[in-house]
Amino acid sequence: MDHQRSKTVLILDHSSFFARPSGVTFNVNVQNNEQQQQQQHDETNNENTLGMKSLWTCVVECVLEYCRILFDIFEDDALITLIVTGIDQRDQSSWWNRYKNLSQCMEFFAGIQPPNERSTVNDDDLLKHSLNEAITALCTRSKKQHVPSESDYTNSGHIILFSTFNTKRIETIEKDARTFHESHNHMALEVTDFVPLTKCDLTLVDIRSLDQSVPTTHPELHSVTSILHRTLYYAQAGQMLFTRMLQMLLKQHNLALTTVTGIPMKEDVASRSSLIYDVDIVHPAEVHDSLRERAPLKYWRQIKEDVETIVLKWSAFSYDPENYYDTYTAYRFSPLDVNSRESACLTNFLLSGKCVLLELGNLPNECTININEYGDENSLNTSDIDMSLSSTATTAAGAAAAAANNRLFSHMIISHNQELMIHALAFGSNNPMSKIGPCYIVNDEKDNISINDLEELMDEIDDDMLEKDLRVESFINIIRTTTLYPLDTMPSGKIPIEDSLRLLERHTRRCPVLINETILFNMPAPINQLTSLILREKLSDDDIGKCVLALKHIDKMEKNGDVLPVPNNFQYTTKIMTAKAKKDEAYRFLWREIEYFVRGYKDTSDGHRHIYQNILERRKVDNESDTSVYPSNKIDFVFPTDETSSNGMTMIKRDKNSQDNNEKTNGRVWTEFSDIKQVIATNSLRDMWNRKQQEKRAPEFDGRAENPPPRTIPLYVNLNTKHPLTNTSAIPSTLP
Amino acid sequence: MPTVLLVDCSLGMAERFPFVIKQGDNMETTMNIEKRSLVAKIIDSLMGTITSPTKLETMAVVLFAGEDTIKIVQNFTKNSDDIIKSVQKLPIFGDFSLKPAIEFAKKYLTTTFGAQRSQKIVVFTDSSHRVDDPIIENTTNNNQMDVDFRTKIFNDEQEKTSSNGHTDVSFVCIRKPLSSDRTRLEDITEQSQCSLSKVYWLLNRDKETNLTVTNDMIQDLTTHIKADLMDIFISVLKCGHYESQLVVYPTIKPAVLQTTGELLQPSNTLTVNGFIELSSIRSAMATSKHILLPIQRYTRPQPPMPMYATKKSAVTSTATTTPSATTANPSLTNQKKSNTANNFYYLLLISLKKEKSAALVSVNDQWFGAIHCQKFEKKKKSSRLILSVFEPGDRIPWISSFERLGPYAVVFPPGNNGELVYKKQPWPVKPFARSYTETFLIWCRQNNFQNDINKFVRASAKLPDKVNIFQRELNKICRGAFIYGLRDRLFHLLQQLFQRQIQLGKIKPDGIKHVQSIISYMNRLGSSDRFIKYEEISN
Repeated sequence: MDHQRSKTVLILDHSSFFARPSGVTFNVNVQNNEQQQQQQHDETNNENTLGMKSLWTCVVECVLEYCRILFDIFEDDALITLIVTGIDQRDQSSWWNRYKNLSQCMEFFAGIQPPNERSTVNDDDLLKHSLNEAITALCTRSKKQHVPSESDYTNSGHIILFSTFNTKRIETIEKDARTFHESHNHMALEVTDFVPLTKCDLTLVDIRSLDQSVPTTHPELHSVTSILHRTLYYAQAGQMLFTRMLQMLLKQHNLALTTVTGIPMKEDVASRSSLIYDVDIVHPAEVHDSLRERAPLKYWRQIKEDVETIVLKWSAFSYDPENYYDTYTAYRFSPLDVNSRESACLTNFLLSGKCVLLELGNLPNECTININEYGDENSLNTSDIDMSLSSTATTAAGAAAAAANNRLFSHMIISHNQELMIHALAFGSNNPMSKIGPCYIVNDEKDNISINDLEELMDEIDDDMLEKDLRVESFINIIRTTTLYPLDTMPSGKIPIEDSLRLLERHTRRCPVLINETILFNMPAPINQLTSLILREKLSDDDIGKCVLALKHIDKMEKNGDVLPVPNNFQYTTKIMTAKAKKDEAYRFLWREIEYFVRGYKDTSDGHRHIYQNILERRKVDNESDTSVYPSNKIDFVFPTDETSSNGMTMIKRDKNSQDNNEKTNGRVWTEFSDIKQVIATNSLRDMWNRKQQEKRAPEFDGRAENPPPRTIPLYVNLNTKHPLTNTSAIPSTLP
Repeated sequence: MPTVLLVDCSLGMAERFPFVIKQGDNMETTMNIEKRSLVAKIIDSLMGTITSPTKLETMAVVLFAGEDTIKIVQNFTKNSDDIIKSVQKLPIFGDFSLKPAIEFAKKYLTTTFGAQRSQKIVVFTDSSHRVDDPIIENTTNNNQMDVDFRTKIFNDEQEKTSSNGHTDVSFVCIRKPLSSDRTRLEDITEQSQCSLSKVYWLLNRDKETNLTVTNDMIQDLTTHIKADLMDIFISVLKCGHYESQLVVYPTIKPAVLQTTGELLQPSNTLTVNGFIELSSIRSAMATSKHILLPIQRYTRPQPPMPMYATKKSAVTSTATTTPSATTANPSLTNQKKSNTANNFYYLLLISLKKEKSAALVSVNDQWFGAIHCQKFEKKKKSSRLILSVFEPGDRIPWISSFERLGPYAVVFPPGNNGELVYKKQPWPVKPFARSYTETFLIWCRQNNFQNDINKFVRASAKLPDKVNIFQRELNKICRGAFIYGLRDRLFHLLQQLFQRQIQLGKIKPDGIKHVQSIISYMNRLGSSDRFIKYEEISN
């Protein structure tokens, strides 16, 4: 989150009023069945187990819950400050660094004595002082505002004041708040330590005990100035206070509630049946945006204890975290009642690495068309992407029939590195994302899904068939070597991901893709050590020894006339019939391959060069003729090499260049060679000379390289991508 | 998007042009062909370029001439051969009446696909054809129009994005239209409530003397049309020295880098930076998804060159050249190259599938995406690669920085020069205490409080076993009492409770000593200013 979040200051009145009993009780009796029965007999005993919470206790409970949810969702970006009247907090400068997590907030309250039952005269003054402190805090720079910038003018904040109010007191507070923030804003013009307050919501919560009724359950709003707005809530301690807190929280921080319904849970090990539970979760309101765009939320909206929630069904459809779902937003969420058994069950399930899809229950017929058909024109990737559906359910009847079979998955809950997140899924057949990804509509009307159209048009290539030809195992090794993990510490001057690019470059430099192109890579131990050790950046003496040993081993095999693991339908097999000649040829090829392979790495270190020299000394390959085996050292393999650098960024820019170079050199690719003789024949001395000359030439000017010689270089290439311009008169052009 | 090819069959289409065919290296054959055959060639070439990589379009062919001479010769189809076949024998009728034809095509599209979708009409005609009752033409001069050129396009595009489901009309003309002709076309489009997207032409009018048409010109024209008509682009997937050419569908749209506000264009090359296990990337949110398809292996054979001579050969000729967007002159080597270049695509596909991994690719500087393998819904044995493009910059909360991702071989180097053995490692957890991972004392609900008390009392019943658990619970409750300002009443009740428990014999005889010591601990704590742990006070 880049933008500055609004700050929140919570002021708790510590006056004697809050020492009063709230009427909310707590029970320390142990509740198991046996005890409960006893308890019923033992009514008189009740006063020994029942306690009464003070108003103070109720307020602290509520404030901590407010903080908990904010910290869970916004982490250290929550920007909370706690003020208790009459409690002096030193170090006024670091308002926004003090309470960075829930523990610190709890620590703060643990150090505060419960309010005194005797009232002091200056309660009102203390409150006024705290209010001043609160506004000072809102004007103080937070970590993200540490330097003056544009965002200074979007500095907004909330002050929530828990106290007891009457009309006169409210007026005084409003007046004070106004004076304070005006004087602070004046000050902010002169002092850079201060940021002017551009919006301030002052929320007053009038706390009452359970026996006192509240005049209204709705908040009273009043705009004091254009900047300062006052809201007044009345709340009885206990559940009502908690509800008000939740309403405030959702409104102030743009959060929303989702009820995950129908969570199956085993009651105990013995019983087979499981009961169904609901868990409420709090998350940023944006989570529901996509749903709102497609269908009115009313179908899933419920009011639970005065708070609106969207009810989504837990779906046992599939929870495979190794699947890639089409999600486009992800936000942190926090369970509303975090310590309850149901919530704990859900969170543990998710934290263990599973994920759950949430489904829109009771999909109403009348909105199916909307969901399926409504294309969001404003979204980034829509408008003209319109994969046509040959038959579209346009009639209401058709849609209704479809609705019966449809299941729509709208969200997914998952944990990422121990953080709970809710993702919004792409859904609906006309959704630009889900069109290409798996269709989340489980639908019987097959021709309604565009993905099927696509499938029919694709070549059916059996994956298993493909696998036979490809050196998948070796590539999987490369994948494993370059599987990415986050680094906490950044080694100076090195970007970790570039290490990965370097590794990829090194591992793919001389590595064939097809099985039937290589003998070397099919060799058993100890020769296969050669192919793995050479890839290292540094070679120890031991490693060099192993490589040389491998070479000797091949020598020995050749002398003994051992049969080489020549792959089936080996590309290079000529029409030589005798077994001996075949074997000789295979060995010849193997040595060439070894030479070629090691040559690619010979400049890595002295050790590598040593091994290369060793190969040359074996004079199995003639250094001269070797260029003819791999006629163009640029396209030895199927893949044109980019000799410029292994840096990914330069690769991007230079890529076109190298690609076209390859075309010019009339690229002959490995797999085309069906016959070595033919290859040699086509490479006359003149060809080689030409190629050498071409290599010597300076790299082609970028613009020219993109267009083959006979054509002129187009100017304003970028313009060309969208609106082709007239380059030359002969080329047909377009007009808008 | 659904497209109607509206082909002009008026008398003017019988006009002849010299058409030069290159044969071999130097052989050139010139012949006169009619405009309608040219149109057939353009459509033929268009179908070749459009359909071969992805075959995603559906098209219909409608012929038109006079006011009521409109004929659907081919219904909507995805089979490009059908389209090509339908335009091979273009008849010639008399009149030319464009407006009713466009209106008909629009109606045809709407009845087939509904009004919601954006649709396209491509009119094949020539600029010189006039409607019999001419519309009063504006006298815009030629230069003026050229200036307006780009702003016009811009306006069109804006319209395109703002309105829901509308019809684009493009014109493909043989000769570049004069400004007056152009205005006429614009007027007609406007009258039929469509928007004019582009006008293409084969011949520049200023070269009136040289009217020869070559295959290359047709190629160029169709490349342009294709670029606008289709939403794909050809890209190169690169991984070290491995490379594969592929089609990205739909096109990756430029995106804004949030931190700097810079607009990033997607690069033509997708460079694999490394791999991330699917269970680690965990469905990272993407701004768009794209299907990656290999350039198809199958390409239609080159037709025998002289295509026009008799009508019969014109019908049978299904001329097309290889679908290549990078070069205008596809050669045999190119074809083969694309075949072999697919190897890496399939290698990646199979490997990602087997490893349950995703490839992290850079779309541009600071802009990343992930490629993963996905099975088809129906064809269980076959899979494809899907590219998820992320928002530029580091925008995924659980991947704090893409640049700080290091390869396994470097992050977990094998000890003692040994072989690298891969073992899945957990990703580091951000050190932040979350209420659902650590148990915090949340007492705002009665049952939470009750649970904590229950645990505590239950632990006391097990004393002297599990003293540590008991002490932990004790410290928790006592700290809670301080936090919530409850201590006087709570400690009093707990002391009473334990005394009762002892009386009731719920505490084991060996445990009584422990319970008594905690009762005295609570007594002392009750008068303390701050919370002190049990261990600290008893030592």
